[in-house]
Formats: sequence, structure tokens, C-alpha cells
Amino acid sequence: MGDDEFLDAFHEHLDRLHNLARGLTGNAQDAEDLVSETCLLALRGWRRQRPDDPAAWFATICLNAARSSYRRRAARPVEVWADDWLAAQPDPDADTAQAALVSLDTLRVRAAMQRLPEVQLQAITLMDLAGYTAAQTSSIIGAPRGTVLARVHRGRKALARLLQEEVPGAARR
Amino acid sequence: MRHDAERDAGRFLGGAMSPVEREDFTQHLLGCNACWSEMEQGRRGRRLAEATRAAAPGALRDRVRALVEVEPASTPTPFPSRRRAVRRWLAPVGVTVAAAAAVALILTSGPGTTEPPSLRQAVADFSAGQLPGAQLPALRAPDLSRLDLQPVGAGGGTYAGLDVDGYAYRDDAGRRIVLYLSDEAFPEAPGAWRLAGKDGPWVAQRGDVTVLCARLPHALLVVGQDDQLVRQAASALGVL
Repeated sequence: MGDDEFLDAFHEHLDRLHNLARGLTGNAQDAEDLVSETCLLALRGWRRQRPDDPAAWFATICLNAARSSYRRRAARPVEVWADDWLAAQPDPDADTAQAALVSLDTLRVRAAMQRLPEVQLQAITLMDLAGYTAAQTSSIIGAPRGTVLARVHRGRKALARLLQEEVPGAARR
Repeated sequence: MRHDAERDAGRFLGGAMSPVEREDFTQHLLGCNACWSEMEQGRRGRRLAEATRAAAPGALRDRVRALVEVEPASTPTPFPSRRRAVRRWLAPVGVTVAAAAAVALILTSGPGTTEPPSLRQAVADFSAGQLPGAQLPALRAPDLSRLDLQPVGAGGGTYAGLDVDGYAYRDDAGRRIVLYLSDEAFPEAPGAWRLAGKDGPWVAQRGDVTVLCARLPHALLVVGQDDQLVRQAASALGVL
């Protein structure tokens, strides 16, 4: 029964945890490994005591696990099953050009995010990718709310600048 | 008016202003280039970051479920080492694994048993679509083409101190099995049926996953969700 409740709670927050892990690690495979590690650590903690705010608690565990090693390994290449690769290709019946552009832009944004200072990356990932509030983010990373908001804002500005620099003519168009 | 444009824009976009402050700041924006620019850049950065949001893959949902199902409730174990989930393509050239013959039966294990960590890891990795590790296996993938099973990945690693090579297969219907080979015998699963003699193969069920183990000449595990396919694979390998 307890594990079922845990699984329900973890699945409820899986999308945001996946986005959090994806942003922190920089690649899909490490993100899935990080979510899995978070799951096991959280399960063991859950069996001892239920958290008051599972969403923030899961994120805290994920962030702590990520700090241990994942960012140091973020640049390693990713290998995938052929089926996964094929599934990721644009649907030939869809708007191929648009799909390719969307995919390319997402890759560029993710790459640019990995160039941000770590505190800004954490703050942006928690708030903009995982959807945590400023108050939750403040609790998760243990920093005052004002500091969190400053980091997020600086990170957003830096991200916008980084991507603008990649397209020299973009600002004039 | 003296103000900190970066701080104010950050507070506005972060929803940290009171309704009165928001109203005042919105009015102030109209005449302040510095704040206007801060707001523009902040909004653009937020849109870019939000555009990378994605739903968790279905396979990750399954992997999480498998981890919770196989994690023992009462006996904390050392955290499994993080491994690269390397999937290496192999040529479908087979080497037959000869082993002792027996007859397969299936038994559901009872609750409260202590699962050996190596078996728990094998079942969890099967459910998660992962292989034991990144090392090149000592043998090429055994040939199971007569069952229309094609090798889709292989990799060697360690399960609880046991060196293990994993070989993943799929057929056209999407059915999967994984063979695990080791130089040492896998521990017997609690509640497993011994199929023949005290050293003969055994079979156990873990949720919807069937595990068949034969000990000779290698310790061999055949793991899959379709127990008929598991037995057919074991038979094709000469262990049944």
C-alpha cells in the first residue's frame, strides 16, 4: 500500500522531475538515470517518513543527486536504440521543415542552457522547465526568494543573449 | 526615480510583487527604457527555456514502476552503481550456448522473500530496457534467429559483484528477451521451481517477468515477459 502511494505520487510529478533532470544533466540518458536514482532514494526515505510537500521533496533529492556527479559527466555522448532514434525522427506526413526547426531550436536552447553558471541553470530549470514556484524553488535550493528570482532573471537574460549571439543577424531582422 | 531595473523585472516576472506594486511597476515601465529592456530579455529567456519542456518518456514511467516493484521493503541494500546505459549493436551471428537440459515450470514467488541483488538488478534492467554495462561481451550474441529474435544490443557489466554480459533481442511483434551470461552461477531466486535435479535449471516469476536460469556451461539467465518465448529461447540454446 505504501509503495503504491509512493508510486502514484512519483508518477504524478514525473514530468516535472524529468524536465528538472533533463535540464540539470544536459542529455536524455543521464536524465533518465538521475530520475531513477531519485526514485530509489525517495522510496527509501518515503518508507521512513512521508514528506509534507512531495513535489519539493522529490526535487530536492533530484538536485542533491545531480550535484554529486551528473553535471561532470554531462558532455559524454549518448547512444540510443535504433527504435528510439527512428521514433525521434520527424513524421514524414507532418510539416517536416517545421518539425526539424522546432527540434533544432530545442537542441540549441538546451546546449545554451548548459553554458549558464550552475546557480542560474538550477534556478531556471526548477522554475521554467519543472514549473516550481519561486517559493518552492527557494526551499529546494535553500536560498532566499529574492536570490532565486535574481538568479532566474539573470539566467533568462543570459540565455536570450547566448541564443541571439548564435544568430548574428537576428537582432536586426 | 532611483531603482534597480534587474531586481524589479525579476520580481515582476517571478510574481513576487503585490497587486499595488505590479500596477505601479507596469505604469513605470512605459517610461523607463532600462526596465523595459530587462522585461523583454527576461520574457524572451523564459519563453526559450519553457520551450524545452517535454513529457517524460513512457519507458521512464515503466522503469520507475519496475524499480519500485523490485526494491525490497525491509532490507536496505547498497545503492546500485550508476552505469552508462550503453546499447551496442551486434551482428546477428550466433554462438550456441550448450547447457544442461530440463523442463520448465513456472512458479510465482511468495511475498517477503529476499531477492538476491544480482537477480533484482537483472529484472529491473530488463524492465527498464537497460543492459548491464558498457563493456564488450566476451561472446557474440547467441543465434536465436529460428525464433525470429534478432539481437538489438549487448553490453557487459557487474551485478552485485558478478560479471555479467547481457544480450537483448526483439522479434517483429515487439516481444523482448534478454540473456545474461556469467562465468559464475547466479544465485537461486526465492520461490523458484527446480526443474531437474538439485543442480538443474530453475524458473521463477517476478511480476510479469519470467526468469529462467540454467547453470551449465555458463550461468545463464533468460528473462522475458512472454514465458513461452523464454522457454523457447532456452530450448533453442540447448538448456531445455
